[in-house]
Amino acid sequence: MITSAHRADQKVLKIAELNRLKRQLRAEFVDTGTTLMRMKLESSIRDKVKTKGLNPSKTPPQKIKVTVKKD
Amino acid sequence: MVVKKGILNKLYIVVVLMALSFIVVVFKIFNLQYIEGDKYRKLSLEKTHRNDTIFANRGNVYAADGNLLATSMSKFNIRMDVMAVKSSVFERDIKALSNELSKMFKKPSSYFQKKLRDARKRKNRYLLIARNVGYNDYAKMKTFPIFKLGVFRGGFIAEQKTVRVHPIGKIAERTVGYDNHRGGAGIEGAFAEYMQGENGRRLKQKIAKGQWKPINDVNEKEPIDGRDVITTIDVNIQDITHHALLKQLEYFDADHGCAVVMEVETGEVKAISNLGRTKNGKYYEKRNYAVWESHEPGSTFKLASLMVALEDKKVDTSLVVDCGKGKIFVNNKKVEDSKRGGYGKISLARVFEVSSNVGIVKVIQKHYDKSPKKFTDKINSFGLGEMTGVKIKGEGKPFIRDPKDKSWSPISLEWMAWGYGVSLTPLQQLTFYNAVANNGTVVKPRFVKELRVGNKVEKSFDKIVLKEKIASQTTINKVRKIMENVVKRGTAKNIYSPNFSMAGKTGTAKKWIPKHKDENGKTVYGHYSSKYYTSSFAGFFPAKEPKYSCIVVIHKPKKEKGYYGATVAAPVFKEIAQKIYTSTPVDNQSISEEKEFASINKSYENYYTKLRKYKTIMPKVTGMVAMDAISLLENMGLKVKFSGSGKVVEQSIEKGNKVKKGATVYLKLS
Repeated sequence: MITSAHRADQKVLKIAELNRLKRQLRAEFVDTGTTLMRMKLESSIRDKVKTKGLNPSKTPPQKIKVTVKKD
Repeated sequence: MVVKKGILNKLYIVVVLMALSFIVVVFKIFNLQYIEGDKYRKLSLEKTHRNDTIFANRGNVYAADGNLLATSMSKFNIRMDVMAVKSSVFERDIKALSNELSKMFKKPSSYFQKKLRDARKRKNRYLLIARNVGYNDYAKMKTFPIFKLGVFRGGFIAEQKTVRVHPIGKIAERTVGYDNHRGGAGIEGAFAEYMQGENGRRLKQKIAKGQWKPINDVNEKEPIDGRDVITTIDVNIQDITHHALLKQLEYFDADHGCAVVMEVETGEVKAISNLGRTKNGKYYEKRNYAVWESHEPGSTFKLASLMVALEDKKVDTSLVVDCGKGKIFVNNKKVEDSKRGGYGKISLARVFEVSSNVGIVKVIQKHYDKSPKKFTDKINSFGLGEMTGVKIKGEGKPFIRDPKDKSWSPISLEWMAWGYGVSLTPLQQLTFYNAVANNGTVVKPRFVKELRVGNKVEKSFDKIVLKEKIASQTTINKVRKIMENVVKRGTAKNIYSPNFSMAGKTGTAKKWIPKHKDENGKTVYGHYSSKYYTSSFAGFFPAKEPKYSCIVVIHKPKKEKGYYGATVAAPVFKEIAQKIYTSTPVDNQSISEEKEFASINKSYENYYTKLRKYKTIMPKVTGMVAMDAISLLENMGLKVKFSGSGKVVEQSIEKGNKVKKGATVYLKLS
């Protein structure tokens, strides 16, 4: 009886700790995700590669489908 | 006996006093236990039990491709209890701490040193170091000198709060919106009740370490998490739209502007940018102009006028219109073309291409002056007088003047023909242009694709057709071709590109200055300004089988730098169209005449099975081509050194041996 009450209390403490961890990890995830998102944006990439001489393409990429004739 | 009596008396007094105090105690006990008992029992319960609200998580806002647009996150305010640090520690580490702070916050180290020393002099126990610090920075700060000693010895105070953040930054900020003490705006405001969820309730009992343990309770309620909103916004198109619009706004020093990109068939809004100018010349998402600002559209409205005349079969696009010298008077009010000297005799199609005001006014006047209601009825049948009903709050009201209105004047019809005396929001104008691109079907602009909980879709929003067909296919085809020519050889030929097709209409509208008193107190009557314009461009691309429609409206560009729709607004359209064009791959099918080679297939199969089978045991690679053998072994984690070229003749590690990652193997090739 006492043991089960103690176990329940321990569970509560563990849940609280895991929740704290979860919030911490989530904050880290969103924070890093924000930085990544900003870096991913085409405008920031355009700026970064301009110094290397790369410019956005004037023509679209071409999808090439190859069909092979079977004997 | 007197002495004894005295003592007895004192004894009696003591007894009486004791009895009295005893009675008082009993009375008090009785009082506490029974009369005030309930109150204290309740108090004790409150200390150990409480009804806890379990806060529901607010839903997130996502873009169509899954990128996060808005979410709740912990942010920290960092403060310092300067007095908690021992003097020796303070003196020893203050320089190092200031250096770290200056690296993080880009302020000179001396600034922080001075700040900390001043705070110590003033015995500040709650000095603000930084606000709204993200998690990664907070974790870093915890390791700084002095701070790493913790709360009690380093004085490091971190206050956590949950704020709504926008990973994408300021782009589309107004459309993503917010929902707080300021009210509700954008998608967060419109979908607030979906995103809020419901708080739960649980009875909890206090246990050690400040924790509360939930107890079974009949009143308990599970919290319902808020839904996630998946919007239709495409982050990359939004990015380009925002920056293209910003560039033009900054160059022309405009007051504000907006750009909206819509998918023709579905009505999904792929990008929406609203930028307004601040006092110091920077632009930010001030108000949702695209949804809210109803204004006189000017020449972009000519599409509607032309379509009315064509649908009623009053005219054809080949009709010759005499625009004369470019100036006519209607009821003593001047209608002027932008070209000095006028266009002379040109076809109706050309009137539209060069945006001749005289031309369109003459045509509408001739056929509708006696029956203006026919004109306005047809305009309304296109859906132009109605709100689109978008979910975002605060849609501006459209206005198409009715001939029965008190404000209808003898020039109202003619003025409506070239876009004055009517009022539309950019989104309403775009909905109309989108319908023309969509073969006459008006679809409702949508910002939200679906509502989700976790990965489960709870509600999906599909395309909504507002009007099936607003005009015959012949009319639609004709005006689409004319709009393609506007870009090829008309007012927008500055944005023409041979690589991809665009179609649209420029608009340059004078702003109406209402009656007011100027700086000297003189009354200035309402008039059309020759200084302030609204430059716009509305259109779609590709010209044949349009995929996207787009409108750009820029208010009050600096006249000296330019004010025509073609110069101010059209370049934004072009940049968006170009970007979408270059990111959509073109299908190219090539049929190869080559035959399949059985031996090549066999050796590939061999390689592939070996690749799958061998992970830690050395395979037999002799006889294999060098490139197959090397890639096979390197995939297993080995370092390969080889000499010669061709097929593998010798392998330094025998087949069947166990190999560890990083081991070196020598191959001899011939």
